[in-house]
Parts: sequence; structure tokens; C-alpha cells
Amino acid sequence: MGSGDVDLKRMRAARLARLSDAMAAHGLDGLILVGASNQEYAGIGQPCADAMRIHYEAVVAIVPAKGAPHVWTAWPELVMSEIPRNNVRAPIAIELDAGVDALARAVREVLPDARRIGLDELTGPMLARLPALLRGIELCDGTVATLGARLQKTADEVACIREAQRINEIAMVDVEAALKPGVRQNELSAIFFKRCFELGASSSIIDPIWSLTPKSVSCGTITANGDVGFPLASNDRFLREGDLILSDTGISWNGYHSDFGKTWICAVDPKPSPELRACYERWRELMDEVYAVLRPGATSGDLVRAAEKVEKKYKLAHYYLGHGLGVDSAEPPIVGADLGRAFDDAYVLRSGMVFVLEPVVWRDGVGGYRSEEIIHVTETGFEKLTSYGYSPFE
Amino acid sequence: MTDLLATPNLGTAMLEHRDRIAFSDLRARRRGRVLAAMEREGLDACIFGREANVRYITGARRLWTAGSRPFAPSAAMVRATGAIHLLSHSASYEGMPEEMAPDDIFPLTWSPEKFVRLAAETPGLSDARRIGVDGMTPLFQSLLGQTVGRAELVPAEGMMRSLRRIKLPDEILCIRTAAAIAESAIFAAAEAIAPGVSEKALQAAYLERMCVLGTSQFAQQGAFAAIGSDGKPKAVTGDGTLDDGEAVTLSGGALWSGYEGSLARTWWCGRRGPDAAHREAWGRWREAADRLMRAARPGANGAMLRTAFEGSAAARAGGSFAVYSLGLGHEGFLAGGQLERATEKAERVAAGMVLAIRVFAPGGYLGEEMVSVGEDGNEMLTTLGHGPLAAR
Repeated sequence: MGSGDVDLKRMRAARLARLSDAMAAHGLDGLILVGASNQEYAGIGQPCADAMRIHYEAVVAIVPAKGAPHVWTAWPELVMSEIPRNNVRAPIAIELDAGVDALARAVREVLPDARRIGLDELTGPMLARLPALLRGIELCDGTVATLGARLQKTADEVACIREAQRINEIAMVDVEAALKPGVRQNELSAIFFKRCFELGASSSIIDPIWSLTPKSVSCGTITANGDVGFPLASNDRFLREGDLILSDTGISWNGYHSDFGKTWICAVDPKPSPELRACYERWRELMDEVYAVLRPGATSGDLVRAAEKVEKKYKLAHYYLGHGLGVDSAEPPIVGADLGRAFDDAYVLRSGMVFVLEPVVWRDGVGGYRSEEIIHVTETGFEKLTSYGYSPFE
Repeated sequence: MTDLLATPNLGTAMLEHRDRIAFSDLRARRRGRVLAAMEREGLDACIFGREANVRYITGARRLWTAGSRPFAPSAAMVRATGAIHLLSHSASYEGMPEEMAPDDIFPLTWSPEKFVRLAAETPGLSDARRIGVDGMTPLFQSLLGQTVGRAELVPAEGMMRSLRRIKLPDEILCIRTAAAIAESAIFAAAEAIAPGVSEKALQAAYLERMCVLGTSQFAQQGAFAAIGSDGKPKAVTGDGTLDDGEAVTLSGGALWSGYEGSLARTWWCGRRGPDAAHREAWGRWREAADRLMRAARPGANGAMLRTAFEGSAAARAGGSFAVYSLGLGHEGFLAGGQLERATEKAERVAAGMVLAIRVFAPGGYLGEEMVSVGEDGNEMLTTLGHGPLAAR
């Protein structure tokens, strides 16, 4: 299914039905949603802004267990047309006491019989005032319902991720060509953004990472975990002959995120050393072992064990294998993290799940190899949503 | 802490110039202000998750992401010791200010329980009676309840907002730099305007220029779009292309050292110049914006700003406005925007603030300017001209 086959209206209807089912499963009469990604899932958009701006231009949504959401927003044109216009009203300033009082009145009006309501995020005034204002209503964690609904993607959602990734990968062709000695990280970002938006990206969702990777732990940045330090934040630093670059970028298309990661070499004539090539080949072996067990019904623990047949995690204590992808860049399933083996063993993969596998094969003194592969679990196995090549290793 | 990689982690920009900002002094002064405010408010500790507050107390330069950060304790400050602790998100020491030691950074973990256990082991947090927070998720609310159960969680975003709104001189220098980057990027988009060009191409030109200037972190992705047939500016960049004879809004903001510079302009697409109706809209915008700038003086409140706007021809024609504080991002509206009218009176303009003044004049002009409020007068921080609609 290509982007032309995406039926956005069908996708939005399916998502609301899933939210409704998830609320029923968790005994919730409604959800109060403040988080932008949960709102996106409920069909409510907003301009892309950063974490320092978005809180003061807040959108609030109340999603009843049955029926259309109600929205308080400065951008009614970004609320899906299926929501009746009577349900779309002027924004509420939930950073202020008066706004929280207005929110409580709205809850009483929209969910008059509610006994149990889930929330995803609270502002300070919500934390302080809502329990008293909504006495008689149990306020609880709504993310069990939102994350539950979001976990298994519909075909339309998968097609959106595929299109976001397609845009991201095409833009990377230009970036990889520009990765030559003397280029600066910000110049790569400029090329990346220009191409992505010309190709129709909706938003940038993460600062493009052109991580200059140390070739041994001891010469890298210090990390709190004692891990290999992969520098993240980009700036205007120069990249020079022989630098090992781990790219990690993402954009969104119709709310769905891409995730692109590759290991490259900055050089006039990029050629990996035999030791570095061995890391890459080891990484392929590792991925083949994981692919061999990847199917609905397998557990996260199965994937981690398959990976560890080839390569134990090396100084990556907090993280090893994979994370989910959807209207957020890192969402469940979280595979092989420090949540523990029991957690991984209990986590069963199901069709419709989309996640990124990004193991690192590391040799101290050499460096390492990482590529990110997006996996869609199908009814019978899996398909890859990534198709970019492995130069300069192949 | 030196970075031992061969390549210096630096660009080329005037590192030795005497006017460069002494960031270590800036961080120390910001922290001093927070400690004094905590003393006044009787807070033993603060745990923050919001990027602006984390940046204010730590100065850490972390990976930029779009959207809200669902609350996870990201930085803590203990009043008794003055110590700061960075709790999450960053596995690496890169981007950390030099006064922070590796021990001040908590290991990265995916486990909320582990997270909270680490927080509880931080001296001064486990025995705190009142802890200021800037937001919360239900999950962390319950986890924090288990570990710092005796402490009262007190909303502290109001305290931080009041602090952040009054700028130190070096903060205004940061904002000036951000404003210059934003203007350059907006003008790059303006230069790309031509019939047949896609709106997304304007967005592309804007982000490309911003990155070339050294920052890939934007405050708001911005909206680059022709004013629609309803005569109103669009909230986001659309999928369409520009036609001959359209007014095009250009709105966006850049970050520099965490500080935001934002502006909006309305340009013109077409070989023939703008018509009289659009020029008239610009004239109305100018009058309304000037009224707001004159009214935005120390001691004024939000209701007075509204009164100033409502006397304008743009208001009588059905226009809209917003005045908000800018610094480490958006620091709340003083009038208009999302604020309820009844609460505008409580929002006060003071010397040291940087205000964004945004006005839409019906007929087709959206503009936003930044102004620095001083005891002796206001200074415009936005310098970019107003383009074809304002040209005589």
C-alpha cells in the first residue's frame, strides 16, 4: 500500500473505535488528553512546536467512552472534520487556576455520569485542583488506554509510517552524498530539512543527529551508565576525514513518524577498515537471527535471546534492541531495555505492531556499526518498512 | 570536562570576542534566582520535566524534540545544598555545563520505578517536605507518592514563569541572536515566494537557512501559507502551491542557546504589486501594533493591552491579537491568545520582559514583533522590514 492508498478518514474512524475499546477494557468512562501525540491519535492536530512553546498554547481534548471527542483549541481547522463543530470550542488556559476550573466544568458537562476518567498529562494547577473540583470521579492513568489502543496499527497507519520513511530515506540520499571531509553537522541538517519538506513532510520531530562516534569508550564522552557515549545534540562542528558518523533522524507525515539510522564514514573515499567491516557483518548476522524468530506470538525475550546468540550487549546497559514507532518516536513495545528479562518474556508480539530494531555491534578501539530497521509484524511474519542500502559497507 | 575526540566540538563564530556571553555566569545567576524563589515559596526541592525549567536550572543542552515532553522528572534542585541533578533523557555527558560532575547525572533508564528510586536516593529529595513540580503524569504521581510520600507536590510552574519572564541582560543578548536567525530564515522564505511554488518549499527554505546559520532547533516549525478564501491566516503550512496575486503569511521562530526569537510577516506573491485592500490591511496592522507597543510599558496589565488593541481600526474590523512573554520558549500570554479575559488583569508588564506582539488585521496582514521592555523605554528586537504590502 503506497501513500496514495491511505484513507485518512477510515484511519481516524478506526483509531477512535480502538480508543473506545481500550477505554471499555480499562473501565474508563472517558479520557482527558493533553499530550500532542495522543490528541493526534484522536484526530486532533496542532502546529508543530517544541517542548518549550507547546505548553502555553495548549489544546485539551475530552474523549468519551462512546461518541465524538470534544476539543478546546486555538486551531479548529486542525480538528478532524468528523468531530461535530459544536464539540470544538475556544482554548482553555490549563496552566492557570481559572483554566483548570473551566476544564472541570467542561468535564461535568461533557461526561455528566462519569465515575472513572483517565488522564495522560497534568499541568501543575490540574494536579493541585482537579481532585477537589471533580470530587466523586476517580482520576487515573489514561495512558494504559491510549498506549493500548495505539499498539497495533491498522493498514492505513502502517502506510503513513511507510510514506514518512520514504521521504526520510530519499532526503538521506542527498545527505550521504554531502558527507565529505569539512562539512559541518548543521549543513547536513540544512540539506535534510530542505529535501524532506520539498517531498511533503509534515513536521520535523527530532533534531537531526549526525553523531560523531568515538572509536573507543575511553575517548568518548562520559556517560552516566559507563556506556559507549553516542553524542546526540547536533551543532556546527566540522566532520573530518575518517570520522565515524551515526545518523539518526525522523520526520512525520500525517502524524506518523519515521526513524532512520545508518553508520557512515566521512572520507574522500569512504572505505571501512577490515575490523569495522567485521562489525557490520556481525550486525547482519545478528539481524538474521532476530528475523528468524520474528513473528506474531513470539516474545520480546525471544528477540533478545536471538540477538545475544551473536552478540552480547556491550556497555549498553540501559538499552539494547528495539522500540515502537507510531505517532511517537519511541513508544511500546520497548524490546530489551532495562525493564528486565521477565518483562521481555511476558511481552507478546502481535500483528500490526511496528517497531525499530537498532542493535549496535561494538569493538573498543574500532568503533561500531548500527543501522535501524523498521519492522511491521504481519499476520504470518513480518515486513521491513526500511529499504535504504548499506554503503559504504556493501 | 574536555571532549577527547579529535575534532573540536565547536564552530567558528567569534569565540574570543569580548561581547560573547559568559554562560557560566548566566547559569549561576539563573540558579541563584531560583534558590531565592524557592526560599520565598518554602520549597525544599524542585523536580522539573519541562524543557524550559530544566534548561533554566541546569543549562544543559539536550536533544531537541517536538511536542510536549510527557512529564518525567528531568532535573532536580535541592535548596539546602544548592545542588542540581540531571535525571534523564541524556545518557551522555555532552552538552552538560562544566559545573556539573558526572555524579550529578543519573543513569538513563526505561524503568519509571528505577527512575524514582534514584531520585529518592538523592540527598535532600527523600526528606523534602515541599517539592515544586511543573507538571506530572498519573504514573509518576503515583510513583513519587511511594518514594517521597511525605512530601507535598506543589505546582511551581507559576514561580518559574515569573522568574523566566524577567530577563537578565545576557538572556536578552541570547534572544537578540535568536531573533536575527529567525529573521534571516523568514526572509529566506519570503525570497522563495513565486507563483507555482509550493507552500512546503517556503517551509523548506526557512528551515534550510536556519540550519545554515547553525541551529537546527526551532521553537515553532512555523506556518507558510497563502491567506485563504476566508481571509484568515492558516495555522500550518499546507500542501498547495501559491497563485499569482495572493498574500502569503510567514511565521516561525528559531532557538539559540535555548532562547527563542519569533516573528511573523505577510508577503505578496505576484508580478503585479499588492492591491489597495491588502495595503490597507497593512496600515491597520501598523496602527494596532503601534498602539500595543505604546501600551506595553512597565505597570500596564493585560486588560490595558486589550483596551489599547480594541481602540484600533483592526479590532473594529474584527481582527485579533495576542501579547505573550518570550524567553526560554513561550512564557504565557499577557493578553489575547488563549487567555480568558477575566484573567488578563492579573498579567503585568514589567521592565526586563521580552514581549511578542502578534496582530492579525482583516483583509490580510499577519505580523508579529518582539519588543524588549525597559525602565526608560521599549526597544524593538525585530528589525526585518514588512515587504511588498508596506511598500509605497
